[in-house]
Amino acid sequence: MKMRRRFALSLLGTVMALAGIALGSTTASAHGERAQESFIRMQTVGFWDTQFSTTTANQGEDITLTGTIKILETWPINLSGGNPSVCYFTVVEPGAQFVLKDRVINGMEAPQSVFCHKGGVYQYSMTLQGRSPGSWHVHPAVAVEQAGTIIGPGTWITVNSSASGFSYPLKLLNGGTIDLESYGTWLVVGFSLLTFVLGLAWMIMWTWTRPTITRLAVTNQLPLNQDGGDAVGLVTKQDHRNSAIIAGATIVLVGSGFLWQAFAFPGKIPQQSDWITPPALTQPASTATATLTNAVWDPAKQVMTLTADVKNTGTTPVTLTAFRTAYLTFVSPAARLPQSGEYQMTVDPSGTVDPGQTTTFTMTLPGSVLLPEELVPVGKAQMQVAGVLELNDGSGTRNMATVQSSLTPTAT
Amino acid sequence: MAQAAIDVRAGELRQQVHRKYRYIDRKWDFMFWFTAAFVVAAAADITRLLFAGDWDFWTDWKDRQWWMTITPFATIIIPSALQFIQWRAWRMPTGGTYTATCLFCAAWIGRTLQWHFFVNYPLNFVWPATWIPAGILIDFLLLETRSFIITSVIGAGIWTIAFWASNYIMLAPFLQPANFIGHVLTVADVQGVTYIRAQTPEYLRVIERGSLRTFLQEPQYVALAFGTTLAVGGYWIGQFIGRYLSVWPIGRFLKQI
Repeated sequence: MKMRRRFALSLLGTVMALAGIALGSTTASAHGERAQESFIRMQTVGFWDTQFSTTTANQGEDITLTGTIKILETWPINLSGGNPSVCYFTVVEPGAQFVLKDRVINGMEAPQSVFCHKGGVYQYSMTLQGRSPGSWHVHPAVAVEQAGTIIGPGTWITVNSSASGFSYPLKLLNGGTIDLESYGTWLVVGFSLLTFVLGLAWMIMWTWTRPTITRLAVTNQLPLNQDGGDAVGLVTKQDHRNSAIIAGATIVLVGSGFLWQAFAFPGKIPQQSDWITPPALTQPASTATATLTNAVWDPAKQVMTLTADVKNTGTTPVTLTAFRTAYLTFVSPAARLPQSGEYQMTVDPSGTVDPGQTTTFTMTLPGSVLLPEELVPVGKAQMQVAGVLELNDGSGTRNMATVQSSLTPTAT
Repeated sequence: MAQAAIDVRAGELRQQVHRKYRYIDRKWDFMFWFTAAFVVAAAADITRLLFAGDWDFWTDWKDRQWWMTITPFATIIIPSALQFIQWRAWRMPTGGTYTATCLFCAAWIGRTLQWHFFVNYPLNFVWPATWIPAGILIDFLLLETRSFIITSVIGAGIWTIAFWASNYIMLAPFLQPANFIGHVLTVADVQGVTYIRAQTPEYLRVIERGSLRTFLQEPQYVALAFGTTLAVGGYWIGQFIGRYLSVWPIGRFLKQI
C-alpha cells in the first residue's frame, strides 16, 4: 500500500513538474548575442544604417536588409590574430525560416565569403525570402574567420503563409530549372532505402534463422579464424551462397547506380570556392576626429560616462550625433529623437564644435540599457569600451570615428 | 583414426549448435539485437560526429577530397569493433552491416526530426550518407577469408570505395553547375548559401580548394588512396576497442564470477 502511494505521489509530482515547465516556458527569440563577451561586440565590428525593407511578408516575397558594417580599428589581438581577413556576411535567424537570394557587398555580388580587413567599411544588401510562416527574429551579421559570428541589430519579421506555399526555382547551366526545395530528395531517399533493404536482408539472413547467444558455447571451442564449416553448422555452404547473393546484389546496385549517374548528370563540377574582394567604398574626406579620453562606470547610479575630445577639421560646425557600440545606438538629444531600436543619451555640453576647435563632451549612457545587454565589462579580462562616434557637419558629411577607452568603475 | 576423432568432435559441436536451452530462448536473442542497436547506433553516430561531423551534414561539404578521406576512417572504427565481437562470439559476419544499418536508422530519424521538422532545413540538403553497401561487402570479405588482417587491408579499401561510389550516386545531381547571382556554383553550393546557417559560415568548409594540377587534376584518386590508408588505421583502432575494451574485460569478469 505504501509503495503504491509513493508511486502515485511520484507520478503526480513528475506530471506537475512537467506541467510547470511547459506553462512557464517562453519562446526563445535571442540568438546568443548577450553570451558573447562585451569586448567582442564592442571592439570588433560597428553596425549602422541597418534597414529592413519590410517586417511583414508572404512566403516567397522579398525582404531586403541593407546597412553598413565597419571592421573596427580596435579589433582585439586575441581574435583572428588581430588581423581579420576573411568575412562572411550573413543573417542570423532561427533555422532555415528564410532563404537568402542575393548578397551584394560594396556594389559587388558576393555569393560566398569575401576578403576583408581591419578598418574596412562594407555596405551590404541581402535579399531574403520568407520560407516558413511565423514570426522570426532576424539580425544581419558578419562572421569573421577565427572570430565567429558577430551579430547586428535585429527585428521581428512576420512571414504569412501563401496558398502556393514556397518554392525556389534555380536555373541550371544546362538550361533546365529545378526547385531547390525538393530537388533530388526522392533519389536520396529511394537509394538510401534500397541499401537499407539489403542491410536488413543481410541481418535477417544471419539472425532470424538461427540462435545467437547460445552459439558462444561452441565458438569458445574454436580458433578465431575457423568456423567449423558444414560439419559444425555455425556457417554452412548455404550461408556462403546466400551471403554471396546479397553481396552480389549490393555490387550490382552500386555499380549500376554509379553508371546511371554518369549518364544522367553529365558535366558535374566540384564544389566551388568563389571568394571575392569587394571594391573599397568611396569615403568622404574626414571633417572631424574624436578621441575617447575616459570611461567611467558608476554602479550606484547605474550610468556609464564617456568623455570624448572632438576636433573639427572641416569648415562647417560639427555635431556629435550618436554613439554606436555593439548593436546599440545611443542618440544625442541635440541631433534627433531615438528611432525604433535606438536609445537616448545625454551629452554635455550640447551644441556644436566650430571649425578648427576641439571640444570635450561628456556622454552619459543609461545602465538600464547596457546592463541587460551585458555591455558593462566590469570584472572581465578586458575592461574596455569601444564603438563609433558619429559626427555630422553642416554639409551633410558623416564622420564615423572609431573610439576606445579603458573603463574605470567607481567600485567593483 | 585422427579423422574419426575430428568427426566426433565436430559432431559434438554440431549438437551444441542445435541444442535447445531451457532458459535461453530466442526472446533473449531478440532482446539482445534490439537493445544493442541503440548502443551501437549511438557509438557509431558519436564517432562519426566527432571526426566527420559537418562533412556528413551538408551537401556543400561532401567534396571529393576531404569528405572521402576523413569519413571512411571515422566510420569504420565501430563496425570493426562489432565485426570482432560478433565474429568472436557467434561467428556471424554482421558487424559492418549491423552498425551501418543501426546508424542508418539513427541518422535518418535525427535528420528528419531535428533538422527537417524542427529547424526546417530541406532533407535534400542535410541527408546522411549510407554505409550499408560498404558494411555488407566487408562482412562478406570477413566471412570468406576469416581473417581480420586481410579484412583490414583489403576491406578498408573496399569500405572507402564502396562508401564513395554508393554516396556519389545520391550526390551527383547536386554537383551540377547552376547560375546564382551571376556566378557559376554547384547546386550544393547554392544550397549552402541559400539555406542560412548562421554559425556555420561558408569559409569554415574544409573542402577541395584547388588540386595544383596534380594526378591528372582528379584528386579523388589521391583521396581514395589516403582514405583507404586511414581506414586501415581506423579498422585497427576498432579492433583494439573490440578486443581489449570489450571482449577481454568481459572474459575476465566472467572468469571472476
